[in-house]
Amino acid sequence: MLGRVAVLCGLGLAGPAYAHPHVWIDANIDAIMNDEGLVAALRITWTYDEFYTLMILEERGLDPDGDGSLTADETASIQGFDMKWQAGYAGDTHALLGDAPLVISGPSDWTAEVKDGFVTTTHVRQLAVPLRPGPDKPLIIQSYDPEYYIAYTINNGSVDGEGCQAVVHGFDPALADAALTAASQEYAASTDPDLPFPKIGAAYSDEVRVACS
Amino acid sequence: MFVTSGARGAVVRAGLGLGLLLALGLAVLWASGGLDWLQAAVKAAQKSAQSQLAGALRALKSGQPGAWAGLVAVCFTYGFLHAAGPGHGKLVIGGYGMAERIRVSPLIGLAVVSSIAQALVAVGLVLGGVFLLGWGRDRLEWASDRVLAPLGTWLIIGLGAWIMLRGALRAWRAAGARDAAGQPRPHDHAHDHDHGHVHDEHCGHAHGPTAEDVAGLRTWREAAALVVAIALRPCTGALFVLIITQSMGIPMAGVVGALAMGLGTAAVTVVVAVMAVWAREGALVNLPGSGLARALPVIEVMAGAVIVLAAVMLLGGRGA
Repeated sequence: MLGRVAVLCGLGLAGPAYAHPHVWIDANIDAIMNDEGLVAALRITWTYDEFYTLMILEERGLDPDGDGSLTADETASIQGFDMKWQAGYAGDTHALLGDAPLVISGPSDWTAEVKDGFVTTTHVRQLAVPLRPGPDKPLIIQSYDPEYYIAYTINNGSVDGEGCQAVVHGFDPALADAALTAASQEYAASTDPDLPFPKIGAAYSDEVRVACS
Repeated sequence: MFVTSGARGAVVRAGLGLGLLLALGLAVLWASGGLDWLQAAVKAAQKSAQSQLAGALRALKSGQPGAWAGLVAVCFTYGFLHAAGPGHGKLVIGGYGMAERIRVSPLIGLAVVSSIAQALVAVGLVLGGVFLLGWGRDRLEWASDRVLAPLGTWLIIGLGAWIMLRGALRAWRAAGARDAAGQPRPHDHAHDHDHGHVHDEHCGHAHGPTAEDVAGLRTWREAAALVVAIALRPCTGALFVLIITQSMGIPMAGVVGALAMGLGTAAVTVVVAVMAVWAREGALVNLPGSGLARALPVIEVMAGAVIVLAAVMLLGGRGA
């Protein structure tokens, strides 16, 4: 509690955890195994909320009859609309082995389709080094926007390898608040005026944990 | 039955004190995690309002009866829900209301005017950007996030710094006045020499800040700075609605929707304004007479500092 008061009084009023999102995405994460039984890639599925979908359609002049689904030509025209990433954008998918962040490639093999007023896109990202996560050190995949402009919810996770399991874990509000407090204190104690506020979106992220026996 | 002025004073003190207790109680409840359920509920409601907004816009596009009323209702709710959490408008209105002995009705006026002005900035940005400059959403969001919002944040920092500075000056003057009162030296205020404050020949009285003194320093300029500081950070939801309706060929629906969102936001900032004044007067009225003069500048400095610090966070928050 004292920590929260410190955050409120000091710097937390506008901290990232208290910003509010304007786009909602339901995500699915599928871990893809290679022939050697190693996790080699992640297929990420994003379903955008209806309001954002409407904007994607309207600003392109698509779906003039407003029935929430597209013709084949219209569908072709939206392929890759969310895959033109700016330099430095991590793609909101973050992979770790235990605590250690992993390097993953940029997006490839993307798709996009509109169904019942929701646009759903998929893309694939390769692990730089394929690996087989053991039972003690799972492969953790998180979905979050460090700026919290987009709110991600992970609904499903899967892995297609034998002896491997994927489990979705929702974030723990108490742990997340503790991380925010720690980050705020570190920020407040720093004398570097250019130090950006620590990006602690990870603490507020759902995650998929993939482990193999 | 008579109500003596003393009894009435006690009732007023208790009533105002209740405001302070209520504000403190809410703060404690929030800090102890007692409002987590509310935060979760608000988040869920925000998500639901998002899809209702899509539905309202589709209904409008297909010309369904009652679509306009539906849009206004959903936009108001959207604005209300997106304001139901810490944000810069509540920070400025609440901080200002705590810092200054402004009456509650002008502060409510400022809360409403600034929310409407914020909606109008979004309207001006999108309609101006689209029709005059041919901008797409990328450029509009860039102008909003990277140009207008930082400008607004600097204004908020300036406003907070000004409130701090004024509080500090007042505390200094009040201390000077007390020194002078302790060692009576006619026509010889310590601060006359300390910081070159010019006084006329009638300056023989004690110099604590009075209510008139404070009220006199609040000018329309300060109110304008406050409104502009809040307005320059357009709501992303309003931008989205304006962009969508403009693409649909019904820009007026976007203007109406943005204004309805502004009113929804105002509903929250008005509550913050009332709470700020209620809590402040609750704190002040329960202080003994001389404590009041000492407490005012301290509250002012603290409120100004909170505004500055939180605004600095705003600047860092959006990756700027």
